[in-house]
Amino acid sequence: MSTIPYPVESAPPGRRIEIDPRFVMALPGLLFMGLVFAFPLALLMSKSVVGPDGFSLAGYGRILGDAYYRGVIWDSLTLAFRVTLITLLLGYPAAYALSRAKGMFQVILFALVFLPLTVSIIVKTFGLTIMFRREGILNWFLMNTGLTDAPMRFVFTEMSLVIGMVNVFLPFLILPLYSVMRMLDARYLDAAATLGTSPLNTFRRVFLPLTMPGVIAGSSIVFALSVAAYVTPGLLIGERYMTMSMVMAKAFLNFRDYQLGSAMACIMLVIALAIVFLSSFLTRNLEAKAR
Amino acid sequence: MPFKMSRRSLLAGSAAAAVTGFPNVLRAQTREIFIGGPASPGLTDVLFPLIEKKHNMKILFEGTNSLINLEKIRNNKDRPTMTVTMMDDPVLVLAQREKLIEKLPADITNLAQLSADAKPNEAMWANWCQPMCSASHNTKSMPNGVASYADFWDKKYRDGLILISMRITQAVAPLLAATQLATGKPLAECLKLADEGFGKLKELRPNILQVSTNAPQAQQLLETGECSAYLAPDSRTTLFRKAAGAPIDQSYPKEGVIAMPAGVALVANGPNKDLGITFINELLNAETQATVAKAFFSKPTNTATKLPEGMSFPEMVVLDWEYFADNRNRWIERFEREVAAR
Repeated sequence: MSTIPYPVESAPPGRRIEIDPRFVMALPGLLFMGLVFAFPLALLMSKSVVGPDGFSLAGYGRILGDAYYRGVIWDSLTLAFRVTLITLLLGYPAAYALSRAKGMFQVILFALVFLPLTVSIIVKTFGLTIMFRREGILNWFLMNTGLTDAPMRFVFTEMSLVIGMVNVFLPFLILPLYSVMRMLDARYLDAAATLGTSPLNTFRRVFLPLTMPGVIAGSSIVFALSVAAYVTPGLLIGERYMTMSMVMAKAFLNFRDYQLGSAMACIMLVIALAIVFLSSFLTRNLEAKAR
Repeated sequence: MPFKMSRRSLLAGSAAAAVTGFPNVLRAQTREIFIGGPASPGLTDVLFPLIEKKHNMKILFEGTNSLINLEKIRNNKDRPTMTVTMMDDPVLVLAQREKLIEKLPADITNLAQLSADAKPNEAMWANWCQPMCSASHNTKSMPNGVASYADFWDKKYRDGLILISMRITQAVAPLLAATQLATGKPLAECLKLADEGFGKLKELRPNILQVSTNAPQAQQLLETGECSAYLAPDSRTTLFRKAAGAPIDQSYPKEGVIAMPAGVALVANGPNKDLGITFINELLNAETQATVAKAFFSKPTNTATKLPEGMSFPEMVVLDWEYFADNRNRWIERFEREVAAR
């Protein structure tokens, strides 16, 4: 996408200074974010480098120098990666169907995407726990179809955790992808077909590259939400799968060790920022290639 | 000039008085206190209405876990809004050290009838009851519960136990059970040897279905038979749910049952202190304590209490909660790394 530079003229002496209306419109939002996001974040970051005797990086040292906490970071990242990958595999065709659907079928598909967002995470997670029980519907299905002889254990396993998180975060991938697919100019696909490209190649060479900004945006959102998830892992697997958020909660609430909790929060922030910058970089790269 | 009152002005005057005057009079008659602490069945439906009615007070209760409640008191230290706090002893130890609670005054006359171990640190706070803590079992899969804590290590309970997180005070029960098995010492002596119990607790891992910080979820799984036993909610939950018809019961292992410390304290410089004193005095009253025993399935601490018919409590092990508070963070770390971790 090309941009037209906005003409900026320096005000001659004696003339009234004009304020860019875009800045005025952004100001309330900026002030709000500054007050409720940037300011507490700055406080949190400052606490991560303050020990009992003043400036100290001991909080970071305790996390990065301890194999247990390194393991917690690794587990949080791999969990987020698995959740993002599965969400993408399920969400991409769903977004495609949504973008191509018409009339009542599209309304139904939209409802399927939006309705789960109106249900509390806690309710959804409790529902999954009921489904995964030994006498739950999943075991009932497996046993009645002869796939298993005895009930299998699903509750409090990594598998149930991943399924639960995919269930919670899937709409956050479908919606940005849908928006990109909907905006896509169908004539590109027609042109590819006219030139004799097979459907598979049209998808691989035309459709997929053009929808990559949606893939990157959706995956970034899901990854960032998954890496910071607290309620769902807490309910679906508990302390047997410690995540960075659980360590933060323990540090702040149980230990009152603000340096440890803040340092872990800052590490999580760095991961989130890295995701934002990486996705922004990838999107720009793709846009440049497309031009 | 004589004042004549029409029906219309009488009605208008009555309405104005009703809107402006009488509610103030009513408000002046019913005073309010704000109490914070962990929510428990029986508090807002049985105990508080009883005290409110008897003393014409309104109790505003905010039920949350003890540590969050402590954080609220800390944050409002300069201008406290809470008058009374009801928390576990290990959390009250922290509150005392930070001068967030004040010593119970002699005006609370029922303190004199309390057993000595229910008035920690020279009555900085009082234990208003002692719930029993051991293990809770599903009566369908374990009709008779367990005779000994050692039974839980049996292979037949593979993936069959939920362990309460060490972040929650009741987790002391499985830790001390493991220590007792590892050292052979009586349960009452095991707290100071608890580090020796972690190895034994680690051996329990194949049988652990989940380490839970979410009590309602764990309770639901126990009641539906997803797990055989839950170590360990206390009798306030277990026997309350049993009375409601849930297929669960409290186990009484031969090694002993631990007395949980349900404490009540005055928040330092809290508002309406006189009401706070009235509330605590009533809570410790022998008659109210009989209601406490019945509603909370817990041992009353007032020695003059006449237990409701058919109700009895075993001798319980009373722990040094100050020692527990001093070591808890270290044990949380060990527990997470050695027992809870995959």
